[in-house]
Amino acid sequence: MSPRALLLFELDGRKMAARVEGIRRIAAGGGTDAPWTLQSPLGAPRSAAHGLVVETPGGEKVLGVDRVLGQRTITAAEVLPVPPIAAEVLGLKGLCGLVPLDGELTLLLDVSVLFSELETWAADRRLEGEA
Amino acid sequence: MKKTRQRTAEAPAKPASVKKVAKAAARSPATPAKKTAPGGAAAKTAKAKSGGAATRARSGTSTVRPPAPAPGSESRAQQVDAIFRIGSLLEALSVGNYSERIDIDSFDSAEHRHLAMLANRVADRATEELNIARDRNRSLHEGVNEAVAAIERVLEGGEITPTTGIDEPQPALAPLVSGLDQFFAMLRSAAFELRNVMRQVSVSSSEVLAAATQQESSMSEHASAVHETTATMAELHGAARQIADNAGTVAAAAEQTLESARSGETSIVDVLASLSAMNENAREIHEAMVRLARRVERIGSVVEVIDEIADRSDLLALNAALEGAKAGEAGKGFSIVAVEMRRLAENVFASTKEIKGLIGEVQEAADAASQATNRNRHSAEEVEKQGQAAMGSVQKILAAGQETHDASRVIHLATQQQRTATEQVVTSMKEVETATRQATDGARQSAAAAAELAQLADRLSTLIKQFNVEG
Repeated sequence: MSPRALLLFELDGRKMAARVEGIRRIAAGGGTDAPWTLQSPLGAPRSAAHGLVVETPGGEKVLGVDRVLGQRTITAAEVLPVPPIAAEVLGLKGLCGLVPLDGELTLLLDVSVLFSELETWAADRRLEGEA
Repeated sequence: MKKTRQRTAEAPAKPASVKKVAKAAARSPATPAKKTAPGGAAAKTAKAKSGGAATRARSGTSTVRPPAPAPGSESRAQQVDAIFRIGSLLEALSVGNYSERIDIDSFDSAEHRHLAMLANRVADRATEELNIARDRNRSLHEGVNEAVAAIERVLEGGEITPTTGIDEPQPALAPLVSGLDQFFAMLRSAAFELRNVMRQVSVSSSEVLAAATQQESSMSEHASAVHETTATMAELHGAARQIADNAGTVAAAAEQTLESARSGETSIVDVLASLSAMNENAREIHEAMVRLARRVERIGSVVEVIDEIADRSDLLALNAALEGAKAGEAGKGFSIVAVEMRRLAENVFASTKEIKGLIGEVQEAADAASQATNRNRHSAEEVEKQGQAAMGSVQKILAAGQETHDASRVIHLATQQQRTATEQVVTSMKEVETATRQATDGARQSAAAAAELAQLADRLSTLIKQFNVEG
């Protein structure tokens, strides 16, 4: 089992983890020209001190988070699959598993996948708002 | 009655017995003829024998009749007897026996008869003169009795008639009666005058008594008033002494107050100077606190820069660690360095956070100190203003204290003079009281004397009323 490096960050008061391979760099709040996304199915950042920069087909995009907490290396066996009911409720393709960190289960995300479904999610939010 | 009694008393003596005279003549020797001198033996013999003749003369008028002589002759013895008989008659007359007479016819000799007749005439004349004298004497006696009775009426009954009431006094008593009339008139006039005077004296003595009594009462009241005044003045003297002592105490207190006010003025000046220095210090502290706040702000800015650097370092460390993780085993060392850098950045964050906290605390303390300094400065200014006001008040108090001090000294002097004056007044009042007591005693004595005078006037008036001058 090869170890996997995770980037831990905090978003909307919750600790989350992301695979470092999908993140190009970490940006300071307001420190890049790439568009920032502050609304997502994961919530909205409270301070947006850091941003996770990812490469998408439309260019670099930044997911605003409260702050990056650090890195953690885990084994592949430590990644737990998302329960079907949870995957049904959340409805996120970017959610690729659960990782037990410090005694609690932490969402493991694929930020690049998450960005691919943000436009659909935003359209659904607009439709819900209009409804 | 008196006249009858006088007449009875003055009745002539019974004539002496002629026989007794003759017997005495018979016992007498003839020797008396030898005596010629009036004071000789014959005279003495005649005088010795005259006692019996006088005794006889007092028994009444009688006629001396000698023994019958021998007829036709007159002997020598007969002659001596005749002379003796005539001499006896004269002797009886000489002793006041006017009742004896000589029987003229018993003498033989014409000369003897003539002598006997002359002797009888002398006896008759003497008897007549005696009767006249007795009448005159009786009249005089009666006049004197009337005068004495008039005087007795005055003395016993008090009736003073204008005259004695003797209308036709004997010529011999006329001067006496006239004098008594004048005396009565004068006495009556004097009694009138004395009565009037006594009335006036009585009235005056009553007035004097009333005045003396009034004076005594007034003097008593005056003495009482003087005594009360003396007591009051003594109390006033005590009060004046107390006031003088109090005034002295007040003067001393005023002087002490003045000194205290001056000391207070000096203290306030010192306080104002201290306040001014304090205010200056507060201002300097405020400026220092402002400078400190600026420096702290500057430190905050530096800390912000440091924090920014640390943030960037942390971000670089994160990206370095991210790249290290992407590199796998090859980037492991790089990841370790990135982790250390992050740790340093986090330490810087912690330090800057602590510094920010300290800066915040310093700023808060500086703000509090600045505000306190401002408040102190404002308070110092207010206190300085109040001190200035207090200074003005103290200066007013000082001026008032000076006036009070001057006034208290004047009052002290005045009260000293008042104490001396009241002491002199008390002394004078004691002298006045003594004089008043003496005057009161004098007034009492005057009243007693006036009362005695009034009693004497009443008694004298009563006595004078006994003299009736109304008739």
